[in-house]
Amino acid sequence: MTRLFLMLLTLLFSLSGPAMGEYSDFGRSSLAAKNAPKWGPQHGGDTHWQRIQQTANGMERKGWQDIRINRQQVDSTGNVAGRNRPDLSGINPRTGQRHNIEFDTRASSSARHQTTVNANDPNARNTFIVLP
Amino acid sequence: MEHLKGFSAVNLDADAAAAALEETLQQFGPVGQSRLATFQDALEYLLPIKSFTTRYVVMGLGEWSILLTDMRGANCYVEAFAISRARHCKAIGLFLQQKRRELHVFENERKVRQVQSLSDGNRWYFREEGVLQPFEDAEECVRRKKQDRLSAEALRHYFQTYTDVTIPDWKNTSFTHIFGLARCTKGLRVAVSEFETVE
Repeated sequence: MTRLFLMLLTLLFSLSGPAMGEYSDFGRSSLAAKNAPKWGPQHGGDTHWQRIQQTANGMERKGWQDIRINRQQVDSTGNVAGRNRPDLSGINPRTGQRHNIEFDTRASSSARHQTTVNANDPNARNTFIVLP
Repeated sequence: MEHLKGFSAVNLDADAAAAALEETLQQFGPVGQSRLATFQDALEYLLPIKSFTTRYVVMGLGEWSILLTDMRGANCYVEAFAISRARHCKAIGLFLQQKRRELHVFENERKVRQVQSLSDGNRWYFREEGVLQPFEDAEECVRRKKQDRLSAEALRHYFQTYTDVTIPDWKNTSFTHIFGLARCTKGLRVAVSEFETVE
């Protein structure tokens, strides 16, 4: 009975692998079979963090430069533009423009970020997304 | 030179790596390619360092090729990732600066590991993603002080173990072939600034 339970548990974990990978860019190396994937440190809630990761992974695949997650705001030349730390930032490889992205769960937080990020770097393209 | 402490490598010879990078850069327009004889030529090709990437050098070290760019604070890891996906090869990116240490590893068309330990204004920033790789020392990511994590020494060891190639000391390293690639900058909406070269 115990052996059957363990077999079912093993099967459950092996099936959950692709589902976990679906939200990330990380494959499962040979060592990954032994070690659980390690994520983090997470910034914000689960949905917030997941959107940051997904967007950052997409930017890497599209060749964006100087991708920054939750780091000090800088302009297109890399100079510090303010103390605010956008959730995500990077330089578009086609235009050379710095983009800052803020994900918020409340409209009021998003509005506050909009004021700060735009004031710090008016030449950047800034996107403010309110998560449902 | 501090800029040379940020670079990437792909598991391809220089001809194949340069061809793959050229294909990637063609999305921005025509790509200029030059053959360079020495590392000094490569350095002259790249300098001065700029605010945005316009040129790359690809330098062969047997089965691996090193990638460098002329963009300040860039180590070509996204380009190495693109080559890795296009040619189904391994790739690794590093920063070995005192205040910026990073590891990026790509295999099977995926990012398998990313660790960053760097100064970010008035705080030290540490972030890791993916599972610990077989060549890593687990202790490097769990030290109490964030600024002690991911030492440059460990990164050197990781690179050598992963690629079986020693990190070049540039001027004294004998590269098999060196290619210079210049991407099209016509679509840029921001002026590219040049920075003073400091030895």
